[in-house]
Order: sequence, then C-alpha cells, then structure tokens
Amino acid sequence: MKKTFFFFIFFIFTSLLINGAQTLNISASLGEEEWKVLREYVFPDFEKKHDCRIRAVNIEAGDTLKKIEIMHRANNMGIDVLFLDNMNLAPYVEKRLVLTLERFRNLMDNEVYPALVEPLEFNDMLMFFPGRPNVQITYYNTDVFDDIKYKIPTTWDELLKVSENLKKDFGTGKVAIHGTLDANTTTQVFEFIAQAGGDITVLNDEGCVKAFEFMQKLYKSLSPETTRANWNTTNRYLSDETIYLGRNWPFGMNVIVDQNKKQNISAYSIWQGPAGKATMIGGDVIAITRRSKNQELSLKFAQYLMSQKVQNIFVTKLGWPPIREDAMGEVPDWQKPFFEAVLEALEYGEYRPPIMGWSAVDRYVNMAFKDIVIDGMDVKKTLDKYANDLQEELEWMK
Amino acid sequence: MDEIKKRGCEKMKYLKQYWLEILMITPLFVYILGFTVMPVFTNLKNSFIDQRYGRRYDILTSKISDIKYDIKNSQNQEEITEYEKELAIAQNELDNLKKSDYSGFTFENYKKLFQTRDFRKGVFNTIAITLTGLLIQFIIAMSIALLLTNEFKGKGFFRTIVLTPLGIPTIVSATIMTYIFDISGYLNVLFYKLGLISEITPNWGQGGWLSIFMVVFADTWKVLPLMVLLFIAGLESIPKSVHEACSIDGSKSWYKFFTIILPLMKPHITIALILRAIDAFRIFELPLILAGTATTPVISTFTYMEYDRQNYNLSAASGTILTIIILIFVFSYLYVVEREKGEEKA
Amino acid sequence: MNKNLKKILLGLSLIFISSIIIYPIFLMFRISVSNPSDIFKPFTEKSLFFNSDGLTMEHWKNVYNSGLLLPALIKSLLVATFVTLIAVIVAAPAAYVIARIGNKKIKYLFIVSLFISRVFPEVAIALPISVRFLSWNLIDTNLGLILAHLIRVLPYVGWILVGTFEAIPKSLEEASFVDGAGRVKTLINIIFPLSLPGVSVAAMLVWLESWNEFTYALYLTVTENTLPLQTYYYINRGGIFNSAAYATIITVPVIIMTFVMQRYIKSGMLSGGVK
Repeated sequence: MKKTFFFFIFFIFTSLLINGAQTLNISASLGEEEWKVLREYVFPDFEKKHDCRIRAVNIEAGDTLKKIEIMHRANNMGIDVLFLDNMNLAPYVEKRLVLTLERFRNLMDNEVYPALVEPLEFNDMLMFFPGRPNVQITYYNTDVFDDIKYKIPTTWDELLKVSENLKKDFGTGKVAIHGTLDANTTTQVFEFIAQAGGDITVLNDEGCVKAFEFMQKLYKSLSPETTRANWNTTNRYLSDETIYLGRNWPFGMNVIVDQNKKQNISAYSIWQGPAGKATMIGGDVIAITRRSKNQELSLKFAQYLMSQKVQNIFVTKLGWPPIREDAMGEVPDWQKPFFEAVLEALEYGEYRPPIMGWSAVDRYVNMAFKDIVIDGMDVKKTLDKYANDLQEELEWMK
Repeated sequence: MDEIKKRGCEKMKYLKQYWLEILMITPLFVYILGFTVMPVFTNLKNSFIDQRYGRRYDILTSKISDIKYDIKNSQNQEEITEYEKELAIAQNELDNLKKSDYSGFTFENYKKLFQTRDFRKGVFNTIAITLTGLLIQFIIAMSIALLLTNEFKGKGFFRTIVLTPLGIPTIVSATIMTYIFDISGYLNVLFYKLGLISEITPNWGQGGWLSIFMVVFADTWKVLPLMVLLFIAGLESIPKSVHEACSIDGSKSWYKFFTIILPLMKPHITIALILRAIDAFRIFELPLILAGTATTPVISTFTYMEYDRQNYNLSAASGTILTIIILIFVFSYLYVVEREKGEEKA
Repeated sequence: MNKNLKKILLGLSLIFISSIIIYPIFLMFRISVSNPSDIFKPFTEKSLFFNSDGLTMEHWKNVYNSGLLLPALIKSLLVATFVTLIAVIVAAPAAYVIARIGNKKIKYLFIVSLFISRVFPEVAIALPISVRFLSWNLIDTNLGLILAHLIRVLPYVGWILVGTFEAIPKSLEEASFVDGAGRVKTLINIIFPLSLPGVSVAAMLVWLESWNEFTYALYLTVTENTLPLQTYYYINRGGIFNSAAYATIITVPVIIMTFVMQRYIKSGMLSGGVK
C-alpha cells in the first residue's frame, strides 16, 4: 500500500513539474470565430517555440478596466498580456496598471506604421504597442440605395438630404447614428467634429459649433432608434431593416452577413464634411500588466503579435487591417467590400488625443449631445458652458 | 460597586442561558454585515468629498503605495531609481493637493447632481417607475392571487406558469423584452395585425410616460411571481369561514373584500410592497436596455455610468441619494400603516 | 352571478394571463430554433408564432460544439447547489432565534438589518467585496462565487425561514420540554420536521437566485463563465441565436423547480414574522 501511495505522489509531482512549463495569460475582447482563428493559427507556433502554454480568456472591453484593477489592488494579477480596446487608455496609465514600454521600443521593427505608435505615448513615454487598427464603416441597404432613387451620401449635405427624403418616403427616420450617450456617441461626435476641422477637447471652437449645428439639424430626420443604437444593436437594426444606413465597426459584417444571412447589406468608407473626410481610429493595442509574473515572456509575445507573420494572419483570416505594410493580403470574397471600405476609411483616420482626462471629455460631449442634438437647445450657449466646465476639469486631471 | 457587580452577574447569566441562541444567530449577521458595512460607509464618506479633489487624491495615494510596493519588489537598480523619482513627484503633488481649497467635507457633489437636468429627470423617472409599478403590480398580483384561491383543475400547472418568470436572469428578460418592444418588435406586430396601427409604429422607447409604462410592464412580467406568492400566502392564512361568507352574498362581495379581506392581509401587503419597493427603486438593466439612458435615465444607470468613468465620488453621491429615497419611502409607508393600526386599536 | 358564466370568465382570464406570461419564454425558445430569415423579415411580414421558413437545430449544434456550454452549466449547477446548502445551514438557526424573540421591536430591527445590503446600489458594493475576495486568492474559484452569492441571498432566506418558524406553535415546543427533552433534542425531533416545507421553499428560491446571479460572477470569474455570463457574452455581441439557446437552457431547471416548489408553499412561510 505504502509503495503505491508514494509512487502515486511521485507521479503527480513529476506531471506537475512537466506541466509546470510557463503559462502565459492573455485577455482580449473578441467574438467566438475570432478566438477560433487565434487558437488555431496564432498560439501554437509561439507555444512550441517558447515551450509555454497560452491561457486565453475573453473579457469584454467595458469590463476589462474593473477586472484588471481588482486584480492589481489585490496583488493577484492573473493576466500578463492585454489585447486592449483603445477606447479609453488613460485610466490604465493613471492607475499604473500597465508596464512602461519606453525601454522596449526596439521590439517594434521598422515596418510598423509610425503614425500608429505616436498616440500610444502618454506623458512622452510609450505605454502600449499597436495591435490592430480599427475604424467604423458606413453600412447601407443595397435594395434601397440602388443608385437610382437613392445614392449613398458622400457629403454632409447629401447625408442630410437622404435622411430627410427617407423619412418622407417611409414615414419614419431610416438613418441612425449612435446616440446612446456613452463612448459610442463620443466616437460619432468626434468624427463629425473632425470632419469640420474642430478639436473635441476644446468643445466650442468653430469646427465643433459647425458639427453640433449639423447634428442638431440631422437628428430631426433620424430614426428614433438612434437613442438605442450602439455597436451591438445597430447590427440588429440593419438586419431587420429598421434602418437603411448606419455607421458601425467592421465586425458587423460577421453578424449581419455571416450570422444573420443578410445578402443586401454592404458598406463604404465615409462622407466628407466642411474640412474633408475624417474617421476615428479605434482598435486594439497591446499592453503588459505591471504586476505580471511573466514579464519577459509577455514582451516576446507582444513582439510576436506585431510580427509580419501574425499580422498577415489577422488580415487574411480575420479581415483585420494590419499595423504594417508588409502584412497586407487577400481576404475572403464576401468580406472584400467591407475590407476595402475599412482600408479607405483608415486613410482618413484620426486619433483621439492621449490625454489623461478623456473620461471628462466623454462626459461633457455626451451632455452637450443630449442638450443640443436631442433636446434642441441653443448650440453656442450650451457649448460655451460645457467647454468652460470641461477645461476646468481637465486642469485637475493633468 | 455592588450595583455594577450585580449587573455584570446578570449579563453573565444572560449569556449563559442564551449561549445556544447567540451561537445560532451570529454567523448570519456577521457574514452579511461584515462584508457590506464597510463598502457602504466608504461610499457614504466618498460622496462628501469633492469629485475633482477626490479623484486626484485617490490616484495619488494609490500611486504612492503602488510605487512603494514596486520599489520593494524590484530587482533592477535602474528601475528603482526611476520609481524613486516617480515617488518624489507624486508625494510632492499630494502635499500640494492637501493644502488646496477643495479638500474636506462638502456637498459639492450633491449640488452638481441636482444641477444636472438629466439627473433630475432620472430621479423623476425612478420614482414614477417605482410608484406606478407598485400600483399596477399590486392590482394584478392581487387579482391573480384571488383567482388562484378558487379550486380548479390544473391549479398547480397554472401556478407554475405564473411563477416561472422569477427564475429568468434579468439580462435575458431585458433582451427578450427588446424583441417585443422594438419599433419592429412583436408587440407592434400584434397591434399591426389587429389593425390598431399602421406601418409607422409607435416608438415605445421615446421617453416620457410611454417609456415609463414600457419599463413597468417589462418589470412587472419578471417580478409578479413573488408578489403573487406573497398574496396567496396572505389569502390562505385567512380562515375559510370568512371566504365563504364573502362569496355567498353576490353583490356585496366587493364590499366584503375591501372591508374584511384587505385589512386582514395588511401585514402581507406591507411586506410585499416594501420588498418590491427596495428592488424597484434600484431598477437598472431594463431602462438601460429597453429605453436607453438618452430618453429614460434612472438613478441606477446614472450611478453606474459615473462609476464607469471613474468618477467614484459622484457615483457614490448618486447611490446615496437613491438609498435615502428608499429609506424615506419605507419609513413613511410604515409610519402611515402603523398609525392606522394604532387608530384602529383605539 | 351565474355559476357557469363565472367559470367561463375565470377560464378566459387564466388563459389571457398565461399567454402574456408565457409568450416571452416561448419567443426565446422559438428564436433558438429559427432560421435568421424568419427573425429578420420585414415588419409587415413578421409572424407572432409561426416560422414560415421552417425550424433548424443549427444554433443548438453550434452551442454544443463551442465546448463552452458544459463547463458553464456545471459551474452554475455546482455554485447554486452549494449556495443553497450553506445558506440554509447558516440562516435556519438564526431565523429560529429571531422567530422566538418576544420583543417585537427587536425582531423588526433584526429583520430590517438583514436588508441593509440590498438598499445600496450593487455597483459600488460589488467592487470592494471583489477586491477583498481576490486578496484571499478567491478569484476564478467556485468558492469565491459561492461566498459572494451568499451575501446576496441570506437576507431572503432568513426572512422566509423566520415566517416558517413562527408558524410552528410554541405550544409544541413547550410540550416537548414538559416531556423532558432538552433544547437540542426538541430542535431535532420537533422543529426540524415541521419546518421542512418552509425550508424547501426557501432553498428553491435561493437556488434560483444563485442560478441567475450575474454581477458578482462578472467580477469574480476569469476563465470559466457561469451560464448567465455566457449568455451576456452572446447578447452583447448580437449573437441572438446563441443567447436564445442559452436562455432556454437556463430556463429549463427553473420550470422544473418552480413546479415542484409551488406545491409546498403554505401561508405561514411568507409572512416574515409580521403578524
């Protein structure tokens, strides 16, 4: 009996030792299909090369900050590498949750677009690596926008006209923007302001005034679902044809075309405002947690994700635009129109400024949107008031 | 001296006699209060610290303790010097901050909240949804409970149906309700098929009383079971003789209902309404998903959104206001009910 | 009133109420077996009940093949069952003591203090509690989730059990004392069997509450989701068909439990000692 017992313990011990190869913990916010591609094509090579095991978990973008903060404060960091949505990176820097990457710039090779790297510098220090850029595209219903009765709008004036005509013909608005008064709305407002040449952190300069005036006019003919349209529900509204035109992230093609089997939805890049075309660059960046217990391995993995090989997989298997020129490739046929729209929209892409007080900007932009666009209050007066309050709060957040 | 000794002895006797009771009751209360008391008080405290000051202060203090931790655990000398520089800067900032005008106890957060139009709207919506909901849920639950006092075949089956929504997670029920209340949702499909509306369908989520009713209906669907349960319990506790007396004289049954059955059920109604009110005031997923905060903000969504923006002080103030509203309701209701009881006794 | 007319009215109102209550659940199940073309039809062609394009098991196959269903199911089952056991064990003795307190004011105080945790919005409380749990290394464990659910669930259990114990007449206990049985023996032989129906009802309510719990699961799990969390994941990404399948799976035990539970509900249990 004793012998078998000890042998058993020995066996457990050695198997633990063998499996005790390093585990690298990664988190990202991805759909099921996307995870499948990562697990099949991206992880195995790295695991083999570095004799480790990758444990990947899905944490939704909105929950990541809270979860990482909880782990950080309890001194029990369970994630090493974050594939992080870049909606609001400032808190990660502010709360010292991520490692300063200034010393590791050499991990990015020369092929990476420098324009993608600049916005990742907070207080002149590099805090994140580029992971994959992303941009919203304008989805439209091909049955309605048949180029005969309705043409897809390419300028603000055309957009306004199309929206008003659709409302007249169908009795209710058939165009929607994201009006849910959260990060979704801030994105759309940022784009309109950029198209008018304004600066969203100032909030009451000429471009901002023009943008808000336009949105106020446009809102009157928009679909009532605008107040509930976010990156998730917009796909549903396009699918059940509550709206015929709306901007959303490219993953919408997976939901609308692939899952919901709609054959009559396509997309183009963007319209132009008084100062030209402009879109907001979103996407994911790579971060390494400060309290990670596998710092070296994490850095290697970050480098791996930025490599030409992996970026090419992102393009060909996921339809994601790459961070480097030499990773471009072919996407499946059904994704082609969407991919082209994404690439074109990226050409006009602008970044949100990497300031610490972005959540204050988010708050005041949404309050202004509510008052001006939805409730129709005076544009200049409201913007002046909120711009004032915003500047004051930003002072506190430097 | 003797008095104190005597009291001490009595206390010991008290403990000795009731040791079993104390043992039985302690785990429950220690567990619940142990975990929840601290966060509640921290939140209360936070709500009285100016948001801008509070945020900066929190970041600096956690930064400082964080840097100290890193210094202790770092192996790399280069890193350590970097950290020490950071520490000095942060400490300096903190000292300056403490001297500023904004430190200390203040009502600024509360002022700011009440100056925000959306927040005032949220307070109105919260109270409207709760009170309307309570009224409608009371009437419907009571009716169903009365129906269920009759004996009929399949009573158990029907009771199961009525109780089922209780077991469905709120996000699931909220999502299904969006399929029903959407502009192209199934409720509008029903009305369209019945010929009540044209293809241009009503927008239930547009705000105002329409949205309030939408939220109340969706909420009622989910919470009705519990109230029905409570009322059934109450009705079944009334002796059968009273029920029989009511059903004999046909026309007078309504009168008997209001003057006899209802008062007998008062304790059950009280509990049902108070329990429901506590949860109803905190309603969150339904207004968020069904109507959207743009049209129908409530206090809970406000609290959550500010928390998401790392405005913890403002969020705490908002949460405290909600708690105060709940407490005002509960205590005024109890006061009114108890006063009537007192008058009856007299 | 004519007896037959009354019966007919009764039947009609029952059918009406049942349909309103059942429809959302039916919708959920219907979506899980529908083709996308049926769900995304133009408004004027939509049907309330029927799928003109037939039914499909594809979504269920997808859900099963993703490999995420079974772990989530097992986790939810495990946590819910343990929470129920522990909640009853902790709350029953306390409820018995509260029920036997003579002073009404103190009784009220005890019962009210149980609900303090429910009066504050959850967001602000869940985070500090999660940090504490995490510093005890409880993240991503079933134990952490069980402890967190207990916090939410104990007030309800306590309250129902107080009512249950109140319904047991003191005279029975006193008779037992007169016969020479000690306090503990009385508890086991007399109180325990009589309270079983009430305990069962409380247990089932707790089980349901834990089965559906979402907020703490969100903070305290990393790799393995519970069923509601997994459903949230699909809902958040517009996975309407997958989430419908998950929602159906969540509902099945609910219906079974409810059917069993509703037989045991008696009047005394739900009074919470307010008589």
